[in-house]
Amino acid sequence: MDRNAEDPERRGTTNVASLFAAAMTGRLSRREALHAGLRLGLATPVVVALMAAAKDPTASAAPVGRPSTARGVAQDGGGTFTVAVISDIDDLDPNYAYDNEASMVLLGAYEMLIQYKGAATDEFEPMLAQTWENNEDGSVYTFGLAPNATFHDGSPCDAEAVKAAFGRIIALAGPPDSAAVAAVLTRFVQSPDQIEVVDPVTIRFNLGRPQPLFLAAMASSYGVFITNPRVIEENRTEDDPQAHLALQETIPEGAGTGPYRFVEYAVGERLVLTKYDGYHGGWTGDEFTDIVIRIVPENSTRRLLIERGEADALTFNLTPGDLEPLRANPAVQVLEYDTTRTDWIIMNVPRLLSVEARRGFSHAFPYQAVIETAYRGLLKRSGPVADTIRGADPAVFFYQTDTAKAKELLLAGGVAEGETFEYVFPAGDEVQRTVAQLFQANLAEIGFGLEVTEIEGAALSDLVYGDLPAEEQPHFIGGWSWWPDYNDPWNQLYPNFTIAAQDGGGSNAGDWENTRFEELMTEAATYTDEARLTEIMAEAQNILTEQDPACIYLGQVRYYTVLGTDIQGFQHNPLYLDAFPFYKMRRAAG
Amino acid sequence: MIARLVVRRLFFLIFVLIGLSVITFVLSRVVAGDPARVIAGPRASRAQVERIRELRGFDDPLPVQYVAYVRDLARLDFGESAATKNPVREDLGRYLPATLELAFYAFLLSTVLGVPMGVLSASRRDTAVDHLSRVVAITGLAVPVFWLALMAQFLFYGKLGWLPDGERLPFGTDPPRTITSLYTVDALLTGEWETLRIAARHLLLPTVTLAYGSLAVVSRMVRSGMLEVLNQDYIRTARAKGLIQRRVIVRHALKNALMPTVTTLGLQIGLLLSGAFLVEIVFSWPGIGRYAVTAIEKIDYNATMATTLVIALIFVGVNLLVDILYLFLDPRISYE
Repeated sequence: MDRNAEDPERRGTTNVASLFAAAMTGRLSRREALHAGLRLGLATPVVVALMAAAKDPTASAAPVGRPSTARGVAQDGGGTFTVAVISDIDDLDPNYAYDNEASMVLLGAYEMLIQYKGAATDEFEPMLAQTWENNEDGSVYTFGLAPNATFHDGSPCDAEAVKAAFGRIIALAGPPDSAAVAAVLTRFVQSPDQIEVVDPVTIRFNLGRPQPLFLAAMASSYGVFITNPRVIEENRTEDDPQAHLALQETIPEGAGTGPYRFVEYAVGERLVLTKYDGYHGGWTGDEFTDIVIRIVPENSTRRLLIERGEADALTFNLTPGDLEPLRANPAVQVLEYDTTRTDWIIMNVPRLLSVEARRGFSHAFPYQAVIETAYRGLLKRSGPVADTIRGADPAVFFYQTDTAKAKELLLAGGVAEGETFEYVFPAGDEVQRTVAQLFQANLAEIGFGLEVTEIEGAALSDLVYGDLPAEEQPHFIGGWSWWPDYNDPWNQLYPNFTIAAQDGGGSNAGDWENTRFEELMTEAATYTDEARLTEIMAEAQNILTEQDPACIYLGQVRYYTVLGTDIQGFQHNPLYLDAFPFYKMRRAAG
Repeated sequence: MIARLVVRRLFFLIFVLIGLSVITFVLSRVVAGDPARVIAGPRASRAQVERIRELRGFDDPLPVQYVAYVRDLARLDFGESAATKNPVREDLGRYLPATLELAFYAFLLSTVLGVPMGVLSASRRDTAVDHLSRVVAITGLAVPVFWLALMAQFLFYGKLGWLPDGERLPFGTDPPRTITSLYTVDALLTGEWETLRIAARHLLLPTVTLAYGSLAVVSRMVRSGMLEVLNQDYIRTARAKGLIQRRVIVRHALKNALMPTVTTLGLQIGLLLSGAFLVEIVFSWPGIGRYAVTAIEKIDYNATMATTLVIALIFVGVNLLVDILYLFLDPRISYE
């Protein structure tokens, strides 16, 4: 038998088709295919195709499931933890960024003084500070810093550095930056003079008056991260005195003290963090070595990645239809939990004429159907304050779906029979599309029309935060969500329902206002007595719901995190939406 | 004649560019939404939004903004991307090669397979080959590229695990030394065989998906062109002279049938570039299409306008090439 007859390369064939056939059946290795192709003078594309067709000797042939070798594996601990997210991180400045995706990354590279403990919203655990105490009335707080804490450039993160970092946040609150997130700190500390360096590892905050929420704010994942003053100094310019421009697009070398330091950010592809050997918390060897945040815009691709084990985690970024099969998939764990986020539909108060009419719409809304059909159980009834936040009223008033009563109230409230209303919601949001359709069906049942329009996120933001007069705004803005920066009901309500939050001052796009509510908010801003806060908030929530409804409250949202079954150590916190405690997480051995 | 044609086209290109810049500028400005608010984020303060508006010149009158835009454009300065915070020119240098690589292989695939498919289909009309080719063409034309991409990914990555889900290169694989910025070409030129293998595997699914629709168009155009030519007298004469079928097809029929196909191929480049927008989303391909989609979503004026201009330029350039190609294919054509 002629051995060369079987081997196209040895035979010196010029038949490209047979070369391909040999490559695809594995009779040619990639190297052989490449050499053969080049020898034949084939063009680059043909050689490339040949290489792709040829068998990869190291490739796994496992067709489905979660091959354990697909991910960065940590046989001896370490390895890579890959998270799939939808979009890029817009701003990486830890004292300026104000969104969950940014916080997820920042929590790996930077630290606050303290953090919320596990799933608790009123207990704390160390981060950069190892100890903390306050005086009797809660007007002075003292933090003991980790003595071995260093920034990623090796320089010590002592009390002077921490004071300078807080000084930056205070400065960012003012012009030219006017960073809204700085208010998390400046609500309590308005001047660096209130911050006292007691010794290199002790820092004290003199707040001037009792501030029971100071610890809660210091544990926020928004704005109160500690940055290296050296990095700020080196990057500041006359126009950009706080070096915001330098910090927004990257995490400069040495900027943070977190367990992971920044490696690269390929916009549109991935952001990579790697273990910081000098982390003050120390390393056992089991932690992940690299954290990869992969940007995967397509929903189904994210699902495939987690199913095939090429992503280790994702949080709340699938459609309900894609989540359903994952719940039944034994190759992944789907963890569902309460958050502080509540969803509602903003009602345009001036255009909806009267309190009766707004109550009527609230009765016309199909709450149960929305929970079951649109949110698929990832929602539970609530008022504007989720029950995970202090001051949430357990007896908050809920409107029940009652279309007959709705019609009666609408007509009594001045709405004309058969009138049609405009409803907008964020484009492409499947959940909100279903919500709108269900509401539309209920209103149609009682003879009213709902003209539903999807609008792009930017246009929606414009509607909510712009200063368009109410007459030019739609009757309803659907798909609005809010959650507080820290465990405080005032922080949840103030930006959405006060007069100051109208016309671009916040998201009170419905121009709702109520004098008594304003008084309550003023009192809640400076409360010192927890029992009194509960009282104030119960009244405020009753005004917002039963007495003078500002919105149609859908409920508080339950989030989910999908993890590989071998991922351990994940702990959600209702206030840290989309976050992962990277440093505490591990991959199970085996 | 070619030099004159090129000079004339380049002259007209100036007007095309002015028209394009006006259209993209006006369109991007009339789109609803405040770019300063998008950049600042939903929780930003009013002062923060104002600061961004002022810094980026969004509060200038439109004519002032346009003049500034054209002035910068003349220096090939597309400004800074609001989404990536990088100069757009830098972004284009990063993302355009990924799309060009994808479109190049898709174009090649659709041509290399589409032309023979059309020829076979015409020369064996109403046989199984023709029917099969018709099925391929109709599905290629009827199935949206986005759906096809999702299905291909689901099957070949999700179910069979034969090919990667997307990306140009996975985490942990360094790109080859940059020469052309086309990873496969650079890897080949620098002898980085493992990178070449990985890059080729990553290219396969997006390329085939993108090429499929184009392949359908090309094969149908070639088929109809061939059928028309095969009925001409000179083909009958060639056959009567005893020429073998292959020679009749290749030498006499195909060359004349290719004229409309060349036009189609030119247009396909534009379609491949626009199709890449959707394919890049599904396959997480860091190309100009995905960059443009993000730019549009974030009302990133500079990036949106730059990508539009660049794609339009490529389109115009390819059409110029097609016109030049006509001169070679049919000496009777004159642009005088």
